[in-house]
Amino acid sequence: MNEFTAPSSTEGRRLFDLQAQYIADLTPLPNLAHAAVVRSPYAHARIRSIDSRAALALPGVMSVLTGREVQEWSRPFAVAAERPGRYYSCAIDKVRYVGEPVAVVVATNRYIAEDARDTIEVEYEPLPAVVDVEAAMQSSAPILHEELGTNVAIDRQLTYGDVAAVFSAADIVFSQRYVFPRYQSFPLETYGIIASWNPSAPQVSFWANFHGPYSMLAVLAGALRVPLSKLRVVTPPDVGGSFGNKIALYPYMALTALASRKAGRPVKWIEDRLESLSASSTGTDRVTELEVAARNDGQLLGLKMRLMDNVGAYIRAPEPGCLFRPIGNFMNAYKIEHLEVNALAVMTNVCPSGPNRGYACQQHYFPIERAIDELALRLGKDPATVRLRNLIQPQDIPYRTVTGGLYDSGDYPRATQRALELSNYWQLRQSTGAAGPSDASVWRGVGMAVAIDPSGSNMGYIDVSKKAAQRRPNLVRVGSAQTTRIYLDATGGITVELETAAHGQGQETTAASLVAQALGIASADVTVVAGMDTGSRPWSVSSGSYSSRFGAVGASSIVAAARQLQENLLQATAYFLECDASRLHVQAGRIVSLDDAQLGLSLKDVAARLHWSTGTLPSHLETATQVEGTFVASELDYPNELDQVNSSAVYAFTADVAVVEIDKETLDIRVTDYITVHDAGNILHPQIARGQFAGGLLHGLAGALYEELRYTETGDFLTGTLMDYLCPTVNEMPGNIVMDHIVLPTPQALTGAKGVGESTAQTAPIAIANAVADAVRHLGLEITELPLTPDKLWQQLGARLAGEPACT
Amino acid sequence: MQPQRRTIVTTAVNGTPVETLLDVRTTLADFLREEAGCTSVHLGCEHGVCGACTVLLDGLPVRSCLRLAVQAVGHEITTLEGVMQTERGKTIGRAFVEQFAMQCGFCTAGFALSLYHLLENAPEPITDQDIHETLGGHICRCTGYVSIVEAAKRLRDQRG
Ligand code: FES
Ligand code: FES
Repeated sequence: MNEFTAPSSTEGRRLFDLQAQYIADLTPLPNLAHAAVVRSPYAHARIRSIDSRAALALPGVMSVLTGREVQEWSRPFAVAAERPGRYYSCAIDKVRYVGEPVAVVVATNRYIAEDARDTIEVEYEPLPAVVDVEAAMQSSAPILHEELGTNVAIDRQLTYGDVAAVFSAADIVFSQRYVFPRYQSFPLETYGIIASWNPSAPQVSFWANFHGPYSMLAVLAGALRVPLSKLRVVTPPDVGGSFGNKIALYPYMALTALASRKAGRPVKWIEDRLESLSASSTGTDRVTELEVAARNDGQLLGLKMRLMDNVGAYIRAPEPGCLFRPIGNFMNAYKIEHLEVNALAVMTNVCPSGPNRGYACQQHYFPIERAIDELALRLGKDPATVRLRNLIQPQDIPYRTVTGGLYDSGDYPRATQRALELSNYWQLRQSTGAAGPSDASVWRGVGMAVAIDPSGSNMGYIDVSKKAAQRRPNLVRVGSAQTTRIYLDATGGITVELETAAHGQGQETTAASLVAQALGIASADVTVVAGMDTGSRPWSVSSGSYSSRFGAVGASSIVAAARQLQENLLQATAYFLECDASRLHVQAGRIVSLDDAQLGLSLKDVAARLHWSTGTLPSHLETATQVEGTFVASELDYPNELDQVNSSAVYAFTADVAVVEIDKETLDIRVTDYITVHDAGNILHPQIARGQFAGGLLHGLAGALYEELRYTETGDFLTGTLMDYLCPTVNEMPGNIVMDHIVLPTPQALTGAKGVGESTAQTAPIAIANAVADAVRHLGLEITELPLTPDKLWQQLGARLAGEPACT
Repeated sequence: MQPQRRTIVTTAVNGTPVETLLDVRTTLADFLREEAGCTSVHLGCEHGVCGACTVLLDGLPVRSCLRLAVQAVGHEITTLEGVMQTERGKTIGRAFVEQFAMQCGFCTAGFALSLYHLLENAPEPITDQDIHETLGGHICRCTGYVSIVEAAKRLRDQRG
């Protein structure tokens, strides 16, 4: 319909050509019925009875699924935890959070399904609830899963280096308690699933906005008691975002499949926003007790951390990823070799947690980066100086962290200096807090944060949740791999299959340009097959788009496939022209001789010959038109006896500076400037990378100042609409955003690219917190907890003025 | 709830007359998506905050999740499907695609329709503040708004 000039977004063209296909738009099967989920209004209660008679009497209602069938037809989902609760897709005899599924109604349309839902009578016996992670660890706390006798699902002690020695040798030791909040960087498109249970196989087909990791399908198949080979999952070409949230789609895939089994028809379920906020998946809230040992010159010596993760009512895969995903980069970008970690996952009466853009890194770095500011303050030094002093130096790289990470490329001081320069940091520092003009209406503050940004998770890290002796050596989980297929058709057309289940990252645009570059043709001549289908495309458990893995792992498999096709074209041309393949090269869509520019064949020619003369081709060219490229990240290992593991394929770096203004009368907080400098290796597409940085900033800003999923002490849910859960609009974004990068390609990926998707989402909450702390320090306010709101600052100020101890 | 009352809804969607027998409680958004073939209308919150479901009712942006289809009887509704038949719609599409002013695209039609309204109706000059006010009625979870603001400014500068 429209002509667009390159370079532009393939996905965007489809949208404005009105050809987009999101899950809600699909009717892939006839006789689709529609589901509505009955959910718990209680945080903790026993289910006495469920009466569905009135619902079943309504015209158009087909079935009601309850916990009884769910228990009979499925098993609890598997999870890597010592003491997991029994987690099914639906409550069986007890509900453990507000919003937990209790029954599923299936009807001819959604209006009728929701009518019927409202007639279902569930009798509950309310029980005392606990939502606070520290309270849930007390012996007097209500127990969610009685059979466990405790709410603590995981309690791991990890020790690296000689912590006792450095703490006793330190000039300065201090401790602080930090609270990272619960928020959900929700995608604008909610969960959507179409499931069809075929009873005779048994076989179940899904259309769903699922994007991996595909290891979750193994968990799903196990729960449904169906062989993995009997699950088919189709991801539509267009998925309306995820930011990690849709990784936890699989429990609802199980629920929808069982609803289809009960109804005897394919069932479609589209989640609504209240369901999404209360019962999909959220970031993990965490309390950290941190102890720091340092020298008077600012040298950090060691850390002790007690991490208390609130994983919600059921610990659910891929948790306990929030405790262990950053293990290789536990020390961030600092040269610290002594660390002690007590990692606890605790179950409480709130929605189960899961990945949220930056998964685990913002939770982990928040206390460390706040404490570095605190250390600088205590030593009378600038926070930037203390950071620069402790950063791993370029000559130390490749650097093996004490926890097992391999930082293969980077220049952290250079990127940090660049951020300081671009933000005019040193000059700004002269006029922040009390040093600002007394007649100004605001206090200014400037703060920074740096972060190692891990990308391409190693499947193996999760086993650090078990003690070395309890790991199963015969089931070693290691690595991250991706396969891509490319076809050359008889007219020279090139088709690439995306196998990564993209959901807004512009992967089609990038894939086309990577293949086009390899073959010297225009991006527009490459067709990309979007979406994903486990029934027809190659995949493995580590497949998918998560942990910012496309640039390093997914795109490397595209490059591997494109290189293979290129090699096949050289071989084929050598055969057809009877010359030496090593004297040929690919140039502008032709395969030409290096010795004689006249000698060559066009891509079209080679393709036609390969397709039309299959009967005469030598065996090495029989499949030359179909290639498969597989990329396996190297250097990934299984946790060793010392609990060391290289937890990610590559490690990018981010250095950020935030400038805030706080209104002296209202304590309203505004971020005026945000400067972010990345080392993400090679940038595969500048506009797409920029979009990822800006989007990451939005989610970090939201976590710092606006978004929080709130519960009352008794577990009632308070933030079920977007009037209560405040998403930043364009008007909350900083007026001045500077995004820059330095390029140090990683040798670990064929693309040389590191991750871009999560970076600023990890640093922004911290840089903003440090800036606010800088602005209000002279008032005696301490910043140890997010989100920062005017009323929280007021409470602290009020308490201070009244001479009471501050409570925030 | 019960009993369901049905009525015939007659309206014009993107210039084409539509006549359908509907439950009176059918929302405008559901009617457009399910009955009128306008799947560009997206539902992000169904309670009037996110703006993804924005359509033009007699040329004015409204949230189709907050209205019933019966309230559109006798009115003209325009969705992205209709706007893309106009030159201005195509210009908006081009600006969004070239500026990468979308990632997942779920919010995009809403932004495009509000901008279409601004570009069609606002008196000269369109200020940065006008743009922020227009875009401020929509939530995008992907872009951080940076590229959307750039696309909007480019469209403003091209207007004429
Ligand atoms: S869906 Fe209508 S405003 Fe969000
Ligand atoms: S592009 Fe995804 S919500 Fe805006």
